[in-house]
Amino acid sequence: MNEIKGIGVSEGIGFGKSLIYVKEEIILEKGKSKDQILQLNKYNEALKTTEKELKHLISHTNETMSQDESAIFQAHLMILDDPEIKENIEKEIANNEYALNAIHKIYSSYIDMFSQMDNDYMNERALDLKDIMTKLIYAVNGKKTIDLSKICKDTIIISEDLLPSEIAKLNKKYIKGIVTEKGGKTSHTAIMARTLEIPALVINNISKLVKDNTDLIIDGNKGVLISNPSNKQVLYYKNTKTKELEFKTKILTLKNERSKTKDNKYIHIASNIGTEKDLKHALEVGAEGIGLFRTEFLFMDRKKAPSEEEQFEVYKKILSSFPNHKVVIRTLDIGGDKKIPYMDFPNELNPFLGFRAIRYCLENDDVLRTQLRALIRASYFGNLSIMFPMISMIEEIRKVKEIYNEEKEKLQKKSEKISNKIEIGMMIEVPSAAIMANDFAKEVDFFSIGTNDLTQYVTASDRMNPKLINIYTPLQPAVINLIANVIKAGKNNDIWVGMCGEAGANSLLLPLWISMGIDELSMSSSSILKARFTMKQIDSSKLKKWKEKVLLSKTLDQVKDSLKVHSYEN
Amino acid sequence: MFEIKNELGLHARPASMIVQEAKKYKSTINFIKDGVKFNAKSIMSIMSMDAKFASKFEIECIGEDELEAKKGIINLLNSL
Repeated sequence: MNEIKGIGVSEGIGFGKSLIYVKEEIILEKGKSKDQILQLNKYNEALKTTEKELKHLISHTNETMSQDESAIFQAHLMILDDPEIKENIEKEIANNEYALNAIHKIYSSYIDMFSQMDNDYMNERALDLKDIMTKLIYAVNGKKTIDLSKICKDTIIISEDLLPSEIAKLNKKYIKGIVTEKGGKTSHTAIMARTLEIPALVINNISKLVKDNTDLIIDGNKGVLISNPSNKQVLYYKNTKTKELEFKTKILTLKNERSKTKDNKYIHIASNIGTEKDLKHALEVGAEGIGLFRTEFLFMDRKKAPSEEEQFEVYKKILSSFPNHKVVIRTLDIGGDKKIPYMDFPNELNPFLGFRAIRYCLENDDVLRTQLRALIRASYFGNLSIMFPMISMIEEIRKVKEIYNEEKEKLQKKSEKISNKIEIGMMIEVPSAAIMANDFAKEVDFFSIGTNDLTQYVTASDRMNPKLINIYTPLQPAVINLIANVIKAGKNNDIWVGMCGEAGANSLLLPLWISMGIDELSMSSSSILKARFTMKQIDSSKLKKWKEKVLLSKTLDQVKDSLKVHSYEN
Repeated sequence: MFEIKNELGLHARPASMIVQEAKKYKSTINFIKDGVKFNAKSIMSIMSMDAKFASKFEIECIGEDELEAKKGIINLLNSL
């Protein structure tokens, strides 16, 4: 049997050769070496290997990319060959350091020096040095690094996990699929793969089950990976892919329509974005606004926090892109699985239940105040809704509102142009907030239900653990009942309620959210047209009795069976 | 005393051009900034100078072709 079962986390079908992408942690040798000559030879061999690798990259990028790209590797070559670095590393080896430790020590000293210069350009050079150091250390260990951005044949990447920065580098033209060992539907890898429309799976131990350079078919819809497919399988999947493309073309015609049900009930379908690249995609599919802008991406992969001015420009751009729709911008949501090196985060036993998001921002309110000032100033250019993440107590929402009002008053005194209809809202992702929704609704203008974390916290199941997929699911009776109560609390207090978690894009659950009276659904741009298509087939006037039945379910299977009654498969 | 007129200072690209030029000569070529010597044949050394716009440094060339070296380096620096 050449089919390997996994969890589909990003839909679609892809064909390509496997590439096992292994990231080695740099583990330094302990103690001192006893053989200077051996270590010196190791270093010299690593230099030769890395030089060859860089020269290959130069000629390859000359062919496939631009002169600028190859100039980067030319500079890397010069650094590799630098007399000062070489001399320092050789000195360390002469002092009985292992080659690996000597390389790490000398390169790290330059990396630290460049990182501390008051000069963004030089700070970025530290990343170049890190890149060269990694290549050298891999070479000492007899391994090769792979530059994901330089892949230029149809490839399915197989890796333990991919970082957001690694996924951002992928060239969609050649990357036909991603299979990771860690993660789940709501991991950042999966969310980014969906944004890029690359099929993705999570399969335990996959790097041990598949060899490098094997013919593969990835099926993100069914959650299957096929190695060395038969002609019959290739034909079947080619046909399926063709049908998929036809469906995609068909729903593309809905791009300029508003989202509504069969009985003309309008529900906004907005987009979740993290970067300006995502913004382009949201506009292309005709998103009805932004239901979640994850501002943490503005803060990642850099040396210091973005200035008020820099943030203002980004917010202004997004707000002016949607003159007729709401743009919901979430304040910094970090911690948990998203760490920022220049911010002081303690190592915690339970980061997901730890000092993160609004908890961090209230303690370090300078970060929050800067962000709020940038947001309030940008409000003049569109319809801004500010959303606070991870609120778990009434005191917190009152405190952030107090800070918001202070900053707003300061700006008003300076006669800044500010919109007079900024909305203040909160994520409902912590059970305490969901349970007390009726009280929280009196404090804010809107709720947005973060189903990913809410499900995790309600069911006490780690969303990254593939062993828990039957527990960690928004189809749990406890989760859907809690969500029903949150929406009801919103209605009773005349505030609008949206949903920005992955469950909002789940076509099986879509009729249920509509029946509960959700006002807005926000999802990856790649899911919007399909959701709009599904919504058109739903008659919301016929769902009341059915909804009550679903809410009375005691088990997961009962929920699944009830949902099938109103399933709208394409 | 040489003064940097390039607004970006001696960043990676000019630094690599200086190294390429310096390697043409047998002489030792050093830049002396704030009393510290930097080796003009080492890109890391030049980049560590953190030489910004209007930074000043001396150029020292010692060796059999020191006069040509000094001329070559100054010409290059003026062209950046």
